[in-house]
Amino acid sequence: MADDLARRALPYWAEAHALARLLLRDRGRAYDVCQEAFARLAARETDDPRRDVRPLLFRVVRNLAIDEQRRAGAISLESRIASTGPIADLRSPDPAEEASRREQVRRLERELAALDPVWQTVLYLRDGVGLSYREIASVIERSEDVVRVTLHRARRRMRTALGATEERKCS
Amino acid sequence: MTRPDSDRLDAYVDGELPPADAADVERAIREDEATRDAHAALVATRAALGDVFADAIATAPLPPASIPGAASTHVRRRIAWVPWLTGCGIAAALAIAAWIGTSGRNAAPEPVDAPSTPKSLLPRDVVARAAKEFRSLRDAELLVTMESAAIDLLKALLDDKKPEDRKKTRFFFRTRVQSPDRFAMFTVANRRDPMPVFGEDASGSDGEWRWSYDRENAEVVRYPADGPAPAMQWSVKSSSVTKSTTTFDTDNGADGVLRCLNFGFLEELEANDPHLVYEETTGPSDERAGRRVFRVRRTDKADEWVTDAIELTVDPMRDRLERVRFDVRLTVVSLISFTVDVAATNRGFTKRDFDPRRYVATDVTVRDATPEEIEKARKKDK
Repeated sequence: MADDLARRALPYWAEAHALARLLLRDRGRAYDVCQEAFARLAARETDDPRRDVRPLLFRVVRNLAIDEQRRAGAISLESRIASTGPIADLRSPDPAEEASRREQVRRLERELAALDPVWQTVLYLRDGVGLSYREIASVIERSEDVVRVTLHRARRRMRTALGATEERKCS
Repeated sequence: MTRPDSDRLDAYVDGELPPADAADVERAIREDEATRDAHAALVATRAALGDVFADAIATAPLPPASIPGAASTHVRRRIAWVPWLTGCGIAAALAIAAWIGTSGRNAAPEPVDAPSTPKSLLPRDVVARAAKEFRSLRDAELLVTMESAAIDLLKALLDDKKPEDRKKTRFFFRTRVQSPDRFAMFTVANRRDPMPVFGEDASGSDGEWRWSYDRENAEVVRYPADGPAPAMQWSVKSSSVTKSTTTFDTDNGADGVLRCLNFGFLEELEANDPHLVYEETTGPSDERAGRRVFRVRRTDKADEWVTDAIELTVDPMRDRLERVRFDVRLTVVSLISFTVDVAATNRGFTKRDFDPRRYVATDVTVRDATPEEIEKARKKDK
């Protein structure tokens, strides 16, 4: 049934928007991309109503975001870093610890912004959304082995960034 | 025992290993210190990334109403902004609100220029449902924004001695409330900031103690929360203020914060008071974001309202009140505008979230009130 896919995907609107925003670094363009993605889902016929719609939704969003990036021209590393999104609401009982965690989040966001879009997508889909390797593979249209290796490398880089924060904290 | 390589450890924490392989990794974590450290670092990295991503998800805008099912389907979204006022600043704002409320209530309402949007439910019903839902919130975070173009006039009226605030025209206060007896209010730098501005206002109660930051002496003094003293009380010292005491009633959860502004109107909205006039003022951008905006005016008993009209923003998908906005006027001039946003609900706060040490700088002393101070406070309460 037409519209059914979009209806089933609606609970994941926020996750889809966050992915588009991660890739485009622009809230408004992310909104437009998501709107277009849902319009495309609405026009498709449902294959299996029991199947998880998220991989399909994220694949459409990712592809549209890449198209949008190409249309708008490549985004420079500097602009990606400069337009890094807001910090997370991390709570801690100790003000000093809280400040340290804020610094950690900022550092992570800077590192994330500097990553290759495929790395960003894989990290987000695993640690932000919780998709399986297989589902992530279907989103980025690569093999599970690629997902595993990409995830490992991306996390190692993030861990290094966190480590630097810890070192600064100790010094 | 074989030490697992790092991508295998990744697969383990992601739950992607077969049970037998996972058991091997678990044994290595138990027996090998280096593996244990690597595992801990990996878990910490994932948690930190998860926090960053969770924030991006939480701040996503609502889907457009044009998506099939968007008008009726529950969308998983946490509203990430909320406002409110604390301590002296709040007391000041409340004093002004109460005072102005008695003198500016006859001001004419602003014209409504946006067209009403026909929907299946009447505005009155949408607002009543949202008000009911809001009044039932027992664990919530609100953000109060207080804006005033006439801030110098306010400061002069209050004889405020904070020169650093003279240039400010906008103040943000975050309020965490958990019924029956916990709350915390603190100043934040901007709408997005979850952190208090140390050295500014902060006050609260963790159920056992009510506390307040004393900026002049750079200390927090805790008073027992039981006995005759309410969980929180501001004394408004002005001969012009008829309601001289405002009590933050934590029994009422999120509604207690609005009531603190002499603003017990939600009950009336819920009860469909026939003297209230509802107008829908949803504009194109609200429509796009899936919100509905209503303006409610009352046609009688104006003196029971701080002002004569209130604007309410409702998320119709969840019957959720997202924002309440009203102006306090001096005749036709808006003196202060209050915006109360529902930032989050069901946060699952713990006692730790209401500990004063979270909201003041590390060098601030936190001490218990002396028996003499407690006695003095009790007399003051009476």
